[in-house]
Amino acid sequence: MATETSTELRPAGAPGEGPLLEVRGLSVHLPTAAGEVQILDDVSFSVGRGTTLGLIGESGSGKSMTALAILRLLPRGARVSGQVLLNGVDLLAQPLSAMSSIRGRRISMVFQEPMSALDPVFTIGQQISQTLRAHHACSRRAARDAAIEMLAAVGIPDPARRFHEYPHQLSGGMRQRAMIAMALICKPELLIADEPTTAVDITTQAQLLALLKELNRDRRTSILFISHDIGVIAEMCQDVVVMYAGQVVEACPTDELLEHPRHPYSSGLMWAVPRIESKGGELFAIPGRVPLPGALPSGCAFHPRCGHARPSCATHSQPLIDAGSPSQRHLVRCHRQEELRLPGVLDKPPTAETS
Amino acid sequence: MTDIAPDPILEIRSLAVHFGGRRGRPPVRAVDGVDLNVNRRETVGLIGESGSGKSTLGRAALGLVKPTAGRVLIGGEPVWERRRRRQRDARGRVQVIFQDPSEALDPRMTVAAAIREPLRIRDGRHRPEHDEIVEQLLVQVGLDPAHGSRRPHELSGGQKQRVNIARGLVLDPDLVVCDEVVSALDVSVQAEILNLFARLKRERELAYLFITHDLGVVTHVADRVAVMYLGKLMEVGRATEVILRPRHPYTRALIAAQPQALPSSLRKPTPPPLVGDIPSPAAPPSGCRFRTRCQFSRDSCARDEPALRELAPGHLVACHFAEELASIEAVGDTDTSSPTATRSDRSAYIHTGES
Repeated sequence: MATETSTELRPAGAPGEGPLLEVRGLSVHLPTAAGEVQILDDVSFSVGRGTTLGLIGESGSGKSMTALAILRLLPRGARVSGQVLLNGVDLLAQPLSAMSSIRGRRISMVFQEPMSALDPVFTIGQQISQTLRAHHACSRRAARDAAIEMLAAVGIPDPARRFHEYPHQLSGGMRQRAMIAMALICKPELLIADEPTTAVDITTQAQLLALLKELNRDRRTSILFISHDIGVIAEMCQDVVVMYAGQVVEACPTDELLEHPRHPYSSGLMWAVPRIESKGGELFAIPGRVPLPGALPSGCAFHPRCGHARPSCATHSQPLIDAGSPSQRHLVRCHRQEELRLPGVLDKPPTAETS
Repeated sequence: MTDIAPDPILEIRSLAVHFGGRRGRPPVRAVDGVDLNVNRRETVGLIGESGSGKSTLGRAALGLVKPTAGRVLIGGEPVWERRRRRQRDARGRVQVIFQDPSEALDPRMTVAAAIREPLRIRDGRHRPEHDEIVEQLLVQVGLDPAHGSRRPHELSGGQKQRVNIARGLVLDPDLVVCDEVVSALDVSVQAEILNLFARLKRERELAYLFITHDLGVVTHVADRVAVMYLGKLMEVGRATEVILRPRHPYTRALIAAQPQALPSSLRKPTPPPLVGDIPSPAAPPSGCRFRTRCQFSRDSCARDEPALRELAPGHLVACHFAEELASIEAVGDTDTSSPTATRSDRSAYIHTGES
């Protein structure tokens, strides 16, 4: 399948300076009892320096697998092809041992459930300062001071006391902050945040999003933000990549996606969200389910659920093409992208029947 | 949305539910003086952060926890009653559906057996007509009668939630308590399940007490909304009224925290998020419980507890300064655009005004 020559949605900041992270033609196969199945298919995108990129899609679309593949944390037996370039250096070509100096130091990750990422038998202070000492030669005292400073920076009140507390003593929002502090202690260039606010209250979510925005602005930390929530992506990300069944189906600036989605799946995702205009009426629901890996439909993987599908959609797969303008790229994977005018968030809602 | 004639199926009167409190420790005041009615064929949305007591209130409505004070009546009958027979009659008229569709199902039971179980318990034995009821229900919730012989692991998350809905309806209740029933589902599945709830409400003339933390969901489904904080109601009113013209600072903060799925040019600057976490329900603040996080709080708020009082017909607010605050435009606004424009830009889910 043809891969785009460039995965960047915007021109690089300085001439000659490439993006921070560039994922090129990433494909992943995993072994299962029923044989090898393809989890990711030719995924390409890039994260510019100091920018925020969103990855959106439903469960099973391949968002988290993409993050794990970047960090080379896939299960044993995974077959990976393509490139993951960090500052132009292909991480997939490095010996696996080299990854331990990249994870946590240059690329950090924040997960949805802090309780499963924090070790219950160590204090959060120990965990944060050990992360620092694993990558940088520094004294215990210096690491402790740095950890307390970082706890304060992520908005944990009374950080010197919290340093000595165990994860179970913290509220959900505080734990998530502690995990962010641990992820940022080595000043990584890239933070991968996988649904970091899904398990918390919206008031806590607002606090965490404000914190991440501040980190992006003040420390120029690039963020790859994974979410199923279009509202959160709109708040957080300049650019967005929509994934479906292990493929990128659309990629463009977030504002462009919200106003002018070009893929029926993207448009459907926005319109399935309940809102006041949908009150008293039917919500638009994308029929069917995300297909299981290994049981993908022929042609366009979305065609069985698509209200705009034509017979050719079932027989021909579609490459990701640039349907944007010279000034703004807009990548989309749809046979009918030229003729379709799909509703964005500012348009009238589609009815359940006409999609 | 037409007003629902007052004909309460659920009456909650001065309800308090306290937990623990022995050995000199203060009790956890999960619910601490709540009056709320749900009328027949009405959906009342109950919102608030975790720890606000909304799930405990739901459990009290089901008769699953003993009230410390006050009463819960279902169709005029007390739900917590010494005499077993009367208690069971009242309880059969109210059923519950929980958040996690997998945990609510016994993995060893077939779908049909799970749905049939309440009938078997009510009638003391299995009757042939039970199978017919189960089959009809499976169809009504959008499953195939063939699904009856499956076990939970063979079903998707959305299908499992449909099974739970069928089981909740098998005793033909008047009221269903829905506790975060769509939070664990992907957005397109969530849309289908919300559509199903709407259809079942029409077909079976149900009333719902819909507990959720998602403002988009509550706006879509609810006729009236009750906002809960630390065991007390802060605001109650018609859904459109409460969401579009919130009068309590807490409701305002919740709405402001909702991410806006809007292009950046239309998004208002997000007001600073609510600081801190919800205080412990074992030691609620004196006076107004929200005052420790309220940006408008004054000295008197620490002394006098505001009563829930009617500000406009059917719109109740527990704030000393609700009238005053009504004149202040939404939190964090800097310009003086029209109230509707300001309000509508606040949240993705309310961006083109009332339906």
